[in-house]
Amino acid sequence: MKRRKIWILLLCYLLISSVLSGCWNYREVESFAIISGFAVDKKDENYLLTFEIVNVESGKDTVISTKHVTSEGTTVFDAVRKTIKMVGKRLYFSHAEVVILSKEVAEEGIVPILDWVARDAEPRSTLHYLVSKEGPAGEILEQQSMTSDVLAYELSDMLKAQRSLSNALDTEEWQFMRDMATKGLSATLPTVRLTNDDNKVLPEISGAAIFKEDKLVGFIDGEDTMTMMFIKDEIKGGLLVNKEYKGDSVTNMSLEILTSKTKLKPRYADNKITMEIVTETNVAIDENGGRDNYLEGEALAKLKSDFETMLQDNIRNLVKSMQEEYDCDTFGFGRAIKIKLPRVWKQIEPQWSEVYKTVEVEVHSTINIRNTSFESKPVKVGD
Amino acid sequence: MRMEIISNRQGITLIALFIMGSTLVLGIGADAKQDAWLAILLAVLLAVPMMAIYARLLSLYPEKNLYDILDTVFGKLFGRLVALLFTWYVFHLGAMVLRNFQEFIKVVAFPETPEFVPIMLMGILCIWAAKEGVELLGRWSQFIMIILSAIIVIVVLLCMKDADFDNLRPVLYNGVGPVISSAFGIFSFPYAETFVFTAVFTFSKVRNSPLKVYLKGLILGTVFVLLVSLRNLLVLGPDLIEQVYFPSYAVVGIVNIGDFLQRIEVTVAVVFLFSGFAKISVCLLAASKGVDYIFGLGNYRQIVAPVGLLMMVSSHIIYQSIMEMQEWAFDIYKYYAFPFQVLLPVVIWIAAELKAKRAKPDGSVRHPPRV
Repeated sequence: MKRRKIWILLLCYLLISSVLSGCWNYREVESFAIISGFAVDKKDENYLLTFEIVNVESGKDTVISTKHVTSEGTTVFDAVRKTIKMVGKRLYFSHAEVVILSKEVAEEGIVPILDWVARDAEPRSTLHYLVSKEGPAGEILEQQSMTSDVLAYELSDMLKAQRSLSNALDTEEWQFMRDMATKGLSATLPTVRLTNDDNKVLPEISGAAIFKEDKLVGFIDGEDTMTMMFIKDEIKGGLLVNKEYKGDSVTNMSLEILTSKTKLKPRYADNKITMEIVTETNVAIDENGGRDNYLEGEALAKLKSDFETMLQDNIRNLVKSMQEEYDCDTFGFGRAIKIKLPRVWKQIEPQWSEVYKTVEVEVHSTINIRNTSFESKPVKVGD
Repeated sequence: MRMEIISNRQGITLIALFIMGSTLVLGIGADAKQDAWLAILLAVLLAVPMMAIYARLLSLYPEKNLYDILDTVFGKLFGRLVALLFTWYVFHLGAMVLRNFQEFIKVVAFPETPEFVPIMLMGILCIWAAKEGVELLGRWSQFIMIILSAIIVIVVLLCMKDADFDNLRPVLYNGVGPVISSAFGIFSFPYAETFVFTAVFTFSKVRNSPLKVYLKGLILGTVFVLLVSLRNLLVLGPDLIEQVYFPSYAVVGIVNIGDFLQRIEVTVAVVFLFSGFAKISVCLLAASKGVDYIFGLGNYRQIVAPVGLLMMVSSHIIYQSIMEMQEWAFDIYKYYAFPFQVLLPVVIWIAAELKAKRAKPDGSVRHPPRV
């Protein structure tokens, strides 16, 4: 009796482990084409998608190479599936990290692309989006990569490394969707373009694409992007630079940002909204490239206040150009008003885009110089 | 016939798991936007008196479950009619949870696997568990709760990197209306569903206090429900939560700690798998006991498998699509469930109180022998 039980148990084990293990649709790695990133262009009325496919050849040394394929379709998914005609495998998107949109696509509205990528279960919501500032997006993806084997992954690394440069605001798909859905906040995406470097063409990520609702309305450059990040409280690092800092002679001054905190404080009085932008930045002096000593005493105080003024001016100018040129609430003023002054927001929400232009800005920037890095004095020059 | 009595602690964890059931993965309170957490707290306040009624029923008749109580209070015929209604409800509830599970698996993991495969695997396990009875479920839940709470707490901590507390503000921007209507929905799913436990638990007079078990289970379950709902809200914000079927899954997919700790969505699936298993098993157990009582079979164990198989089949036919499931769960269910969760229990409770009072002068309540 006991023996029979053991046999039955063993049979169950064998049956279960052989029949029920693994997936229903068992697929080998070789049967996928792994996508690292893709670019979306428009050709007449159709979408033109360029995919970077990662090939992993294992052998003595694992060789990673990439290939490109371009396909055209009436809808985004149509173009994706039509690659089967050329590749013979189904594309696999779970390892994709970057999507590049051409300027034309972004100007027409980003929703058609965003919807498929978000709706399909394979691409992850942590995809990084980029907008190609000039030229077709597919061309960018077809360049040679510099440091890694796969260009899309290199682009994604470039975006992540922006935290110590702050010339582009890395935006993942879910963050973009969240910002786009939020009332009183216009979303942005980082921009990419091709630069020539000694006959070598390299992609360069810098600046931001400004969206109004879901449509691209303009670009700002890397420095303005940094100012924007100051206002949005997204600064995690980067430099404050003043090249021609004039005392007695010219001195190059660079401050490295350690931490930064920004608060938006809306006020409402006499039918007018004033937005107080308070920034507090901790920095280290990382460059005092000249003979003058700005590291102590009165010179230090002057340095501090000069940089504060510079930052304040930058912020004021950017807000002004956003209000006048683009009419885009990229900084989330509306959201700040909704949070801090919900009653006021209820009244002004329908006319927000007009009200936004009349918002006055008051900027208070504080820069705390915490240290002067490794050296305590300027480089000494004797005779 | 074995006595099926479980300890207080087992009862508490089983109720907590039941509350977490499909709640954690489907998400609740989306229509209250950034005030979902307030709606949950309000729903808890609504649930407390209801649970006191459920617990009172059990403590009025120690060592008896709902069907025995129905028999005592309403007599053989009418008691069976009420039991029929209730059995239908728990049967349907079990089928719905099974379907939630299947849709989740289909959408996030196995789009090409035939629907019956996950349902069959889950269903057979539940049949087995229900057959072993409530003691097994109690012991199991006590053990699994530790693992699940560790997983949930760790994942919540990992998500905090992307949390934005501005997502919770402004509080009560749209007034209290949406919060109250959403609280009503949360009250019916999942809190008032715990009425099912009156059919499953049989408490001994000496060892257990039903009210304590109910309330502590409610608190424990709510802690996790609140933790997960707040996390989803803090990371995704109210607008995106409305956009996805499974907010928890979307949130956990975002976690990326130093490119090393990422793609941990499976934790959501694991939590859902275990707590969903508890919920389905409890429903199956309650339904089987109901069928047993209605037909006077004498032993519910022999009917568990047929009832379970029926549940699996009906889970397949109750909805055409996930859209229908969503609409049912969040728009219709609260009205459909109200009679079973509130009206029926209150009627039974009042009748039971009257009966108990009338019976007192003669000394003790006469119960028919347990079947």
